[in-house]
Parts: sequence; C-alpha cells; structure tokens
Amino acid sequence: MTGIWLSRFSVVGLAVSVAGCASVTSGTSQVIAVNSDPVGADCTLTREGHSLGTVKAPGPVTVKRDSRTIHISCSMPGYEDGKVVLNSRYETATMGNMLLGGAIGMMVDASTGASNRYDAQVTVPLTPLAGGQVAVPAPSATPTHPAAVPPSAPATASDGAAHPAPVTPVSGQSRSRL
Amino acid sequence: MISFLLRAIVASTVAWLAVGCAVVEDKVPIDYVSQVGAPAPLPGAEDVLITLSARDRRTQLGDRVSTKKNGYGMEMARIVSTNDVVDLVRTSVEREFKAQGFRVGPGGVAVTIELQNFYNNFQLGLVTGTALADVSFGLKVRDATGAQLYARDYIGSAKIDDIMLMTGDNAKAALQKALAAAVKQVVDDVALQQVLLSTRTRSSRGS
Repeated sequence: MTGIWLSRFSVVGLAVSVAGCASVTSGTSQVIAVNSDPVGADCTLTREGHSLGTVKAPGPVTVKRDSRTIHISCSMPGYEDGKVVLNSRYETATMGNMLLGGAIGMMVDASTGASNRYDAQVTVPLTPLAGGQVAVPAPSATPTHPAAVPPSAPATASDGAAHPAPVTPVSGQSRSRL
Repeated sequence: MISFLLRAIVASTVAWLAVGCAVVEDKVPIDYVSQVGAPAPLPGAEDVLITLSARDRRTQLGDRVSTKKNGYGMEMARIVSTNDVVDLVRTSVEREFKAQGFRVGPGGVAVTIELQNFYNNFQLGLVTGTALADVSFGLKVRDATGAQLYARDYIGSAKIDDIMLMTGDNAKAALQKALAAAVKQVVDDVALQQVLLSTRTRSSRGS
C-alpha cells in the first residue's frame, strides 16, 4: 500500500518538476547576436519603446523572451541609421509539453514567455550617406498645424499605441536630433 | 450504393469543416481605416509637390502578415494579405498628405517610405488569446540632389484582447489599428510638415 502511494507521489512530483518544458530546456531569456554591415555600429534594442540594451556590433544582447516585437536600430558616422525588426516566433521546445508537463507546462511556458523565441542572429545593414549633401535651413520649431503635436508626444490608437521613434533631421554636414 | 453515398457525405463534411482549419492558409484584405479627423489644410501646402514611393525593407516574415496558431499556441498556416501591404502603407500616407493640402505626383520632393514590419503575432492566454500587431516604417525626405533632409521611423502597435480564434479576421483587425496608429504619427509630425513646407520656400527663393 505504501509502495502505491509512493509511486503516485513520484508521478505527481515528476509532472510538477517538468512542467514548462521550454522554461526548463530553453529558459525564459535568450541571447541575440547583433551584427552590423559594416561592423562597428552602435545598436539599440527596444520593445514597446523600452530599451532592452545597447551593443557595439558585433555583440550579444540578452533579452527576455516575449511575444512582442523587438526593434533594432543601429547608427554609425557616415551612414544612414539601419533598422531591423524581430518578430517573436513559437519556441518548438514547448511541444515537449505534449509528452511531459501537459496543460500545466504549457501555462508555465506561456506565462514566463518561454514559449516564444527570437532569431538568434541578426545583421543590420547600413547605407552610406549620400555624398555632397546640400545644407538646408533647419525648420523652425513653430507648429504650423492646429492639430499637430510635438514629435516627442506619440500618437495613440484607441486600442493601439504608438511609440516614440528616433527623429533624424539632417542639416548640412551635421546631423542632430530634434 | 449506400456505402458510396456515405463516403461522399463524410468526405464533403470533412472538406467543409477543414475550411477554417489551422493548416489552411488564410487570406484577408487589409484596409486603411483613418483615425485622423478632417484637419484643415496646412497654409502653403498646396505649393508643395511630393513624389511618394515605398519599398519593402522587411527582413523577416515578409511572405505573410500573421501566422495562425492552434489551441496549444503552435504556429500553423500563414495568414496573407490579398492586397500589397507596401502599397497599402504608401496609399495611406498619400491620403493623409493630400488631406493636409500637399500635392502628390511626379517631379516633386522625394518622400520614400521603407516598410520595416507589418506583422501580427498571437499570444496564447489561459482561456482566450491576444492579437499583437506591429506596423513600422521609416520615412525619408530627399531633395533633388539626393541629400537627405529628414528621416524618422514610425512605429504603430495595436493589441486586441479576448480573442477566441487566432485566425485571419482577428489579425486583420489588429493590423488595421496598428497601421492607423503609425500613419497618425506621420500626420502629427510637425517637424516633417516644416521640412516639406521648407522645400516650397527654397524653390520660391531659387526662382
């Protein structure tokens, strides 16, 4: 009788311990190797407007797994800023819950973000600035539109949201941020 | 004879049921639904001619706008748009430029849209799911010499909670909201308006 109960406890314990296959095998965070072409660009990773980290390419950035999109922006003197967007994909290790972990495992993986993954490597291409740029008078800061708002105040959809993104006006040889 | 009829009925039923199956590709038309009211035209905008173009700069998942998921959260068939999303973004921005009073046509100041992302991801919940859409594009203004006058990225995102099916219709709804949010940023970009209006000033000075 004791043996039966012991084996039952063992089964339950095993089920709990392996709950969340992806959480166990892949973890809740991952490393993204960020590269730029040409190398040496300063790259920033953001998710919903929040910075996840910066790196001088090539270099690794550790991010928490999530279902939301990551935006990578790289800048380098003499080049236009390069942008790459990483969408979250399904982590195949989560399928292990079909064998072990079951519904509990899936819920654990979903809540920890472990059921998501991003591409492990990304290369951001940079385009050289066009030569012979002509100096242009910087626009005045006076709003000309009654409904207009400053660029720093992002527009917001009723159920959606817009996040501030880098603004890069170019005036002659020097590039400055508004 | 009865056996043959029975098989035919079963086969037809299975085929009918499989229409909404997660392994069948979903095709949805995506439209631009403006969130911008009816703004008064910008003074002087009628003197600015914009040559608007768009190109696809998506590096990931450019062959779809979303992916179906089953009840376990696994990715299944693609969800694709029946219309070209790159052209959709261009025409959406063009519509708002025209509403602001700008003229759009060949031979003007070059405004280029670079689509970086147009994708909806489904997030599995305990009972229901969530649609998370992201529409991102860069916009660059160049003068006649090719020199860049202005550049900015616009990121629109949308979230629709409590969805029961991770299919095309829900992806479409989220993507349309995200597109509208991104385009609204273009409309609200005062610095962009000033750069565009400054091209009119310079051409006036030059003449």
